[in-house]
Amino acid sequence: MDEKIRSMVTRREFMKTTTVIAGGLAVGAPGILRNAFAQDSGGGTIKALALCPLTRAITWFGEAVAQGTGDYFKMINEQGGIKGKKLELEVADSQYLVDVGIAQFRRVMAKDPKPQIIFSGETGLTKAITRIIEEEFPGQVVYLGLSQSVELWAPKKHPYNFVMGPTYPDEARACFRWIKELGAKKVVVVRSDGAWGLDPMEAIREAAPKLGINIIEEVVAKVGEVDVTSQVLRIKKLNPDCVFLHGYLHETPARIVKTMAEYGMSAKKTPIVLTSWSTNKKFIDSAGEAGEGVYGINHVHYWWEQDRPGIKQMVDFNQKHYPNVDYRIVDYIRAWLCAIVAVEGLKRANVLTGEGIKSAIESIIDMETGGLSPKLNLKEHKLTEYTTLYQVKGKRLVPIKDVYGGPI
Amino acid sequence: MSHWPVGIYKTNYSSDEAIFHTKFVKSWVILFLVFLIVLPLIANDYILYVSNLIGISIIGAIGMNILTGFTGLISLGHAAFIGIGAYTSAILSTKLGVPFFIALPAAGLISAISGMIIGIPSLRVKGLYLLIATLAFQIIFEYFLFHSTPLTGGPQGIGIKSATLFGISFSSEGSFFYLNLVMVVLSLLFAKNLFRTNIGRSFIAIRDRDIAAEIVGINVFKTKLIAFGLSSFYAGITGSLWAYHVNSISPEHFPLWLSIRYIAMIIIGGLGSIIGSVFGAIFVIVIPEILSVFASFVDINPGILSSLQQMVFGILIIVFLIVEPDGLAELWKRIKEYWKLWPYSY
Repeated sequence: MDEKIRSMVTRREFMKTTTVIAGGLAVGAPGILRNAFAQDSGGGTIKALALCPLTRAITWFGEAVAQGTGDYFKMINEQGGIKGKKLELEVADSQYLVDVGIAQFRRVMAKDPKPQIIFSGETGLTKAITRIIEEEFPGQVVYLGLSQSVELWAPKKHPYNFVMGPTYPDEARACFRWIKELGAKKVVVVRSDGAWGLDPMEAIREAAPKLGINIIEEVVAKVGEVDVTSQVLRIKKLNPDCVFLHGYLHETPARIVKTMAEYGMSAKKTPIVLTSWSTNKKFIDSAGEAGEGVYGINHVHYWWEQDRPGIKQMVDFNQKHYPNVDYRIVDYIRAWLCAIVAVEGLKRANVLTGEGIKSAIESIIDMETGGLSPKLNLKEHKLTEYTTLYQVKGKRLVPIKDVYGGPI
Repeated sequence: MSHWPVGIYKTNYSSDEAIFHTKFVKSWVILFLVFLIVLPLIANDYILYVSNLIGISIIGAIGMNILTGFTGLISLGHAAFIGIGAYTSAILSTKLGVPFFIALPAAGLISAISGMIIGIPSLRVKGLYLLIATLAFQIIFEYFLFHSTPLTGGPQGIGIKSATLFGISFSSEGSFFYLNLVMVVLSLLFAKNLFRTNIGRSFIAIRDRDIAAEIVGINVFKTKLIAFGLSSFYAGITGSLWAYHVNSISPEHFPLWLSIRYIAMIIIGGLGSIIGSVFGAIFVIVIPEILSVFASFVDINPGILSSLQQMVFGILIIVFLIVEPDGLAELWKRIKEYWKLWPYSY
């Protein structure tokens, strides 16, 4: 048997063969992979990429971005597309990690045709990708970012970036204008301790004195902090006219509001103002009775405001395609609005290149969205400087008026 | 002799000290290096980016393995040391105009010094206690980054220009690949040789039994500090290369999760193995990418698809660890042993 095996294949032959095969594979592998990426989806489509976290962290946000942009594209495709071309959205999972996000971006950009519009929403990732776009794909890609961080808003430095909302300083200034209208003189700022919480602080410190408001203290509570008693006791001791919260999702503000109510500082007695990422249905559900009277802002309107044509159109689309869906979170509506901007840019573009789409988006001035948001003005590379002020009444966010958030 | 030797037969010291013992292995290494040199000419930017990420991660994983795998000191501060390296390079480069060839080793040195300071409690505390001490350092580091705005740029971080050396800019994925390759080869060679020296052997002695190591004359405290220093030096180089690669850094680049990822790399690759660090880095970086390439051909809900990818990745880790608890390095060794005796393997 052994002799037979030996006669069949010698060790030397085996090694030679494996060496040739492995060497060939090693040299050829990138070529094989490259061919795998060079899949053409045809010239009749316009490609976009939604690069968002679908696993690991803030997945609800990523899923809403993918779903919201995808659904609006689907609606436009049903209406015949744009200039005879269908819209195609590729979704990639950034895992809320910069290195993974860049890898996903690189993977999609290695394909042909490349996406011309990118939807994303992470600050660190946006900065890294912006550099790549400017150096390697200038004039080819437009970046519509859902992060409202002020550092990403630099039209001259980053000409292909658009902030899909007012910036955090815009939001803060809008809130402080309202706080002034409430007649508050002494305000406590409660913020998270990170990039998000710190983002509008410089603008707040600059704007407050101009409005005659004294920031008596900045109280720090972490995102997701469970026990906020010490912060609330501090607020009670400071006895402010108003409390402003920024840098949170719904959980921490809900806990603060509830604990404040327990210590005799209900929102009706001491006004509480939230920024946009906390102003949502989850906050109302979590805060319960204590949430009544709390003010909040947002640059999009909510699912239940179906008297607005822009919201009604979105709800009708959902009822047609997803009969079991009876509610969409506000992040879905933000993503839907992002897609509205992208589609408007594509419609207006003389040439369907990144440069052409960028110029077209910049030409969007005082655009109506059927009441889905305040009027859009993208000349300055952000959606708007207005936000809608809401108040929680009867476990619903009820719009009061639009507030300007530009410089004071 | 073209065949694989059945035993190790050496007639002089130099052959005994050789890293690669047979012509066959040397040929493979040379062939692989040739492949790596040719790669930027034939691969697209995505493959090169992933390759660069692997290269950077290999250096970081070797550093982690020196401390945890070889010396037995568990740390959750690796991300912070990587961050120190990245910020050192960025600050030196942007604020003082220090060139890359100085900023890179400086990043390693500053990280090493920080590591040695953080390593001081390691004489008193070990295991889970050391883990908590290094975790505390990670938290302090993040706080420092956010609140030292004049130095670190605060939440906005620092933008950094691409590395340049002798007038050559390493701004593209392809050019950076060569720079990275040189750094990886140097890192591997240093680490491989480290464990053939007195210091490297002392690391292993401390890991296996620190009291016994002290009895045989090893200065445990000094050796542990050297381990921390060397590990952090590697981390610093990793951070510096990352900063020069992405051209902008901010606190969110160095979360606690990064340390956990490096621990995963060395556990999957093989604790106390240099080649294990390489395998671990490749596994952790490449498998999710392969899964996303496959996933891009499947038309189902992206959210569900990404979750499935993560599940498959998790299952693969479990499967590999069940097949070989000592990591991929041991698996590789077993495969080599099998083929060494083929067709008479048992």
